[in-house]
Amino acid sequence: MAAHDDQFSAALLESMDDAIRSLLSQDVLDAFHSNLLEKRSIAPKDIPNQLPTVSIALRGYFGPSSETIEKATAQRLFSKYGLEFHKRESAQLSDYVEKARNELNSATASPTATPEPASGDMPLRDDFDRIFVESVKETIEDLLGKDQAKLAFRMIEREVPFDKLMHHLPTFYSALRTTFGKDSGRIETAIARKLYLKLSLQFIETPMTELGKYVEAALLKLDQRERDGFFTISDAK
Amino acid sequence: MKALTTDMNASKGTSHTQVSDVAILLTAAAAIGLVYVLGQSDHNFLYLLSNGLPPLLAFVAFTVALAGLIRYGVSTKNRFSTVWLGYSLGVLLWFLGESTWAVYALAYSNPDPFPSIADGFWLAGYVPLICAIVIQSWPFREFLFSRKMLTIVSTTLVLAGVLLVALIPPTFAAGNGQNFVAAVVGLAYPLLDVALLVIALPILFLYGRGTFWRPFLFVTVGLILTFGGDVLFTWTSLNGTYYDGSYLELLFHWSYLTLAYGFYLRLRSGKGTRMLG
Repeated sequence: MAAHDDQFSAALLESMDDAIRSLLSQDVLDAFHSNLLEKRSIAPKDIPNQLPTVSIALRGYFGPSSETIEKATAQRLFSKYGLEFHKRESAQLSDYVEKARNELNSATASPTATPEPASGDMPLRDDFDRIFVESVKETIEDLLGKDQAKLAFRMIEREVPFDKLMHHLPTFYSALRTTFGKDSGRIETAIARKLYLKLSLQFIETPMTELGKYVEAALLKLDQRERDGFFTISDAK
Repeated sequence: MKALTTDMNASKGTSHTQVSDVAILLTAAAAIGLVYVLGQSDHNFLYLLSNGLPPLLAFVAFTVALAGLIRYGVSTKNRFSTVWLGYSLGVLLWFLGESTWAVYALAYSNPDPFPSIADGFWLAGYVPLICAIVIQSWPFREFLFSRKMLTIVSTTLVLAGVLLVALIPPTFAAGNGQNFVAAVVGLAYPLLDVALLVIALPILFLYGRGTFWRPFLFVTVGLILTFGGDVLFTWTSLNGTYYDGSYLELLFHWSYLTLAYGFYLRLRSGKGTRMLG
């Protein structure tokens, strides 16, 4: 499984390098790698694991043209795996990558290939609070780096402690807005994306949607999952 | 929390050096404007200024462009190297156009050498400039023809159409009075300006944000200022209100300043990490 992930990451990195090289130039690609390393401490090999931050960096460097770069990257990635690529309005690279991963997983899944049932490790409602806090923390760390994230956590915890987050959601949303100002929308979407990924739910980004709406929808889907009779990891064990 | 948002926007932010650079650019532009305002009562001074300043500013722009070419070389494998070569050639030809006009006006006391070799240089300058913009924006053509951009492109085309309808008949009529070459040269300017504008305006939106595009952004703004200057020049020449030292010349002067600044940013950002700001 790890080897498979490594291979996928390498293909993703290669796709991005190819896209930047062909759309811009090798010099620009080199500058992009140097910049990510020097200013955001992201080495080229870490790019596949830091896609939200990389997307923000791409937008900062190339403005609206970063959409073309992201699409070209996704197109190359899909082509490497022989997957059909469909452009989606306002989709980000991480959305395409997630889609590619899902399609690859479903293509390779067979009764003999995966010993455990696909639903066996699906998180349920009881796991939600923990996963939500994890998603918030990890997203902020991904986007800001560990040092800046600590500062952000302190700001948020002045309003509401992380262990009581789920009991004070409106306060938490307001704290996010105070902390991140005009960037809060982007951060809320990134948190929602990570949350859905961790919950193994399909994430469909809708413009101008607040985190609260995504959270409500996720809870409803988890309730539905529970009604459908899936087991939690702990139950299964 | 300012620190956090600043970090989030680090790549978008403008460094102090760039702020002071822009301040110098604006000061220079304002100073030229002030000289025009103060010099309006002195016709001899205005004549000298109107004909002597453009070659000087064009030379500054070309020198900075040349410095960039010498420093980073020209490589056919590198798209942006070709683009910068196009911009530099274009500015060189415009510099030659300005110089030729100045020689006619100042050395031979011919205040209106039209059409002349100067026009040949100016018109030739459009070719590498338009090629440079097309080569530069080609990889992002999909973006330029997205729904949002199509609105901008359509608006530009409509404006361009209105412009042509307004300028071509009187230019042609004026040219008929002189000779065929004058009519063709007179028409070539608005046509090439429109070609330049149709490509340059949409890519302004493409370059609007993004540190990598900043040098190109200034070059594009410079070209659009030239376009504005050309349109006003043609219009005022046709209705007889143009004179040496007219305020519309400021657009040409500011255009060269902006082009020079774009070339300077390229020279400073270079090939390495700073290329991305």
